[in-house]
Amino acid sequence: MRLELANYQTKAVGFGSHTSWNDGVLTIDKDDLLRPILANPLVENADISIAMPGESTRIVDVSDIVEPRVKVGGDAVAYPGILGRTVATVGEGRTNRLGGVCVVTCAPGTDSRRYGLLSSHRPDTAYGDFIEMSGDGAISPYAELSNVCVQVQPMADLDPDGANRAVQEAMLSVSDRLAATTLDREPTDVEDLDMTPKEGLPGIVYIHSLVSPEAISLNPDSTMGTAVYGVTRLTQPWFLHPTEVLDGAACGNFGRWLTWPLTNTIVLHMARRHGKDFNFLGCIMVRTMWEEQRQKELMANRAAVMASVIGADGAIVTPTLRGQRFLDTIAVVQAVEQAGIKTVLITEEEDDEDGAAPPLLVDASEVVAVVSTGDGSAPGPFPPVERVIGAGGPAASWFGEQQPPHGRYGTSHLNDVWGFSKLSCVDY
Amino acid sequence: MIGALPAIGISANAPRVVRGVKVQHPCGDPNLPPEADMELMMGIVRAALRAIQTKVETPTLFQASDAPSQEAVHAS
Repeated sequence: MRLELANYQTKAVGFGSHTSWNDGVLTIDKDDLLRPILANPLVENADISIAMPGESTRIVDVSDIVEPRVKVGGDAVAYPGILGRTVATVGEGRTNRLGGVCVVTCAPGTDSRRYGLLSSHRPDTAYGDFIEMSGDGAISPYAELSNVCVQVQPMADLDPDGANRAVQEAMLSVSDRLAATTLDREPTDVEDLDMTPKEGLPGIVYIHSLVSPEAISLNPDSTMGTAVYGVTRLTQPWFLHPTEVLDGAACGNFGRWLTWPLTNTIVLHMARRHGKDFNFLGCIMVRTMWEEQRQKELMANRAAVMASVIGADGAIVTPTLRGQRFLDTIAVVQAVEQAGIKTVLITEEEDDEDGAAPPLLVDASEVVAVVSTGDGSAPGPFPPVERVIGAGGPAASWFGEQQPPHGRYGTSHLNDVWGFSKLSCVDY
Repeated sequence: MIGALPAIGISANAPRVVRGVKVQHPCGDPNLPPEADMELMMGIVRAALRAIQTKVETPTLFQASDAPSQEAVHAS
């Protein structure tokens, strides 16, 4: 497959009377963007705010983040399948992207809404899902990007899945509208991602873990997980071409597992090195949250067979921390190594609980090469901020000093298995 | 320790680990008829009782399906 990725690098974002993109300046007509969101009977109220790097701003209640992308010509659409969008295969032709821009959805009751049955969210307590735009906590990639925050208040009587649907519709409505501003403009640069394999290079696959909400929500059509062409079910692994992933074939959030890293981190960087350092043969998207050890092993075995059949010499594997989902990923590493394919696991470490706990929940002899991205914590505390962007009226405590989230079971500030943060460490 | 994912118990150095059924239902399966669910549960509990009477040196996995001599004694 071959994808032309046309980048419209954006230096400034502001409100104005006409939604448009001109020479790196994105202008947003707020009423124009809010109109379709407020017309949705599932939405009680909505607003849009802009957060720029370096501002004394904290974004809270984050539910998902996407980069605006649009397919040019043809039947396919970016972020396909989800919410009834067409399932026409993406990954070919041309895609325009608004480089440097994020659409961030802020929605209330985040964790209880997203998990449905499992609620670990404590109101007024710093949890993982907030973004610092300046200061010591500004180490996530979003802190360096222009964030168009869509603050959505779904109708109060909706079930968690209905509420999430309303929020996702608002997110893609804004993303589509902003990406469409590029259609009659000249791009800043165009990347030609021709994924034809070259002779004499090793074949590498990327095995990415996606949580399925099915076992928790008991709803096969749940929107509360990362969908592949709209499907969140607990299925055997999907094989996706890297350019399909770049077009948003996997989209949607599970807890703090967001859409943006799928299109903007490892897959993009590996696609750029395709044909130079290795052949990037494909992405195997494995579902996690299987309930039995043998189910995990079956999924892992299917992933290993896929990697073998397409001729992989090596695999980069990333997990969905934490808890039992990590065991799905370890089972994948074991099966792929046993199939004779070299693996590198990239992962955050668990909180070491002051030295009392091991860095990984489980270990196995097949886990031979691991890149650590830290434990998700950041130096703190984070100083008070002048502005808080959240779903509705954020609790007053969000304006004050915050302790950095730190601890087992995902109270991680970064939630980074891709190595996208500015966090580093020095060994001396 | 009874758990659906024995690898966690083994890697945490639990001396005796009994393989359970599912993450959310370690000691049974609500999809089964009540009698079969009870039988499944009793098998796991018996394995746990057997495990706790067994001397172990390293983390050891016990299966509910093992046919143990101790259990035969208790059942008689």
